[in-house]
Amino acid sequence: MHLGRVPPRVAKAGRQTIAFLWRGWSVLVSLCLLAAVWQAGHEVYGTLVLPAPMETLAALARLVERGVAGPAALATARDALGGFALASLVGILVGSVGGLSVTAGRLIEPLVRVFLGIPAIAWVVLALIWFAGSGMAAVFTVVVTTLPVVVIGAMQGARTLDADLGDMARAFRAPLRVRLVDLYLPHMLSYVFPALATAMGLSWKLAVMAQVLGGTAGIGEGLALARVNVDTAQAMAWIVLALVMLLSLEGLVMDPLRRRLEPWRAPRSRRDAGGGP
Amino acid sequence: MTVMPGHRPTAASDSPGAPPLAWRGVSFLAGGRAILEDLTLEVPAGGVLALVGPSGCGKTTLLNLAAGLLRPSAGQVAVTARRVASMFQDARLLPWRRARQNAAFGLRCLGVPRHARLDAAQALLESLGLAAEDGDKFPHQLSGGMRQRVALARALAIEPDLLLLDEPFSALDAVLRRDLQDLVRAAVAERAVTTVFVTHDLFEAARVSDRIAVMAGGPGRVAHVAGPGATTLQDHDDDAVMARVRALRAHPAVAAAFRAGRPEARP
Repeated sequence: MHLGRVPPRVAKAGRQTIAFLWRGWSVLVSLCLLAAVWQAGHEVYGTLVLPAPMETLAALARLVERGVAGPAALATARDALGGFALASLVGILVGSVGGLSVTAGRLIEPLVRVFLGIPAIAWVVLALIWFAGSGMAAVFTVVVTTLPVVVIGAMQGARTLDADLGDMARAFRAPLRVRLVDLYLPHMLSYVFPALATAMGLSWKLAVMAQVLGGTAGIGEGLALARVNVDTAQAMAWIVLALVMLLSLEGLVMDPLRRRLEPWRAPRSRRDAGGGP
Repeated sequence: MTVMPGHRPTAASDSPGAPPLAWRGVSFLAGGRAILEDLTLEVPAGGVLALVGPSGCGKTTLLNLAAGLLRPSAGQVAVTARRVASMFQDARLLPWRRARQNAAFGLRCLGVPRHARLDAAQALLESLGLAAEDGDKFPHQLSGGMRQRVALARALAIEPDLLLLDEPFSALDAVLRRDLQDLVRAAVAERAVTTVFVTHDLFEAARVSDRIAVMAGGPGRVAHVAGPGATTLQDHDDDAVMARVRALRAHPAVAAAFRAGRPEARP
């Protein structure tokens, strides 16, 4: 190999492409393994218990053709993302206050623990009683369940603001705007972002769960219907749909966002070996 | 007045105005304990003044008062310097910003436009011995010595007329420490920046500074101020430094100050 002659920029782009293909390749391999095990399960237990992967895909295709899948996916996305957005907004605000003020933190922390301890299914039941028929049950469940997760992340972030860096900024007479953008936001983000990623995955699952039990429009409703009809292939098709949506949201939005927002968290192996001054 | 390379020797005598920095009758209490008591010290314009003394004698507090990070319990901290820059024991770089952006932080605080400040920071980094591509690196990709160079660039970038250095070399190993000491001396002399340099190491003080104020602890006060004496800063070779340290140690107030803080008086 004559990599030494390749300009660094080109070499870097090449490395990134290879890394991307390698990641894609490994994902494909593990998915194929899963499909193989799935197929084997189908051979043993039959279609009623476990329809074959291809049957499931065919069922999904039928759902799409009939114009059922699209609106259901949209309804679930609306519930999950709406609840997620609301929980993020409120959670970051409450968590920041709780992290900055010791008193507020002492008040908020037990509440967060209580709310984290309540099983999500309990919230669904309550939501169905409180919001029966209004279609708000799923959003409510998502908000109350993901809120404590975001609050904890934001609280940790606000608590661990580096006093030394703050002193440095003050010594350089940094205006508030610079302190916010250069100091507080990046630090908070490093704590809040992982919490948001967790909350995002959680919100999706909770929205589907609330829809199954509440019978409100969405992927969950489709699942409930498939259960009533004992149509396992269709149930699997809905699961695949929910999974594809969540994974593409994580892979196409959250991960690139993380890489863009936190390039400074480069893997340790790329750290220079040290040496010179 | 001391002769420093690139520095007008008469800088102090032809500006009869107030000194860039003075502590006048300053006391500082923390948790009911007196850290500093009725301390008066003037920092004349130009040159490097070392504040040296055993650990816990209030040197860093004195510097933080000058930087405006603390307020005195009594007395007055008079800063007439236009721009004050600081360098700390650890580099205190923003981990999420590249070396160049970190070096430009002070300029950003002054509202210098993005391109101008980044170009200035990059040039400064390279003049302080960093490679061109190091400007793109994040702090965790730099060694301790390189991080301190970035911190020095950040301080020098705003063209300060008062530079406050709080043990900036103490986290470095011996060889690196000497390199950086020379670099700081040269940079400070070239720009004729009035510099206050805090250290617990008498050798380091003798090597880097023209004036040395020896502090004694419990509560902190100035025990002795030594002028530049016969040594000019050009001959800061080891023999001259040793001679200077010996002369200082011979002074009863200095000896007493360092005896009191024995365990940490010398590294």
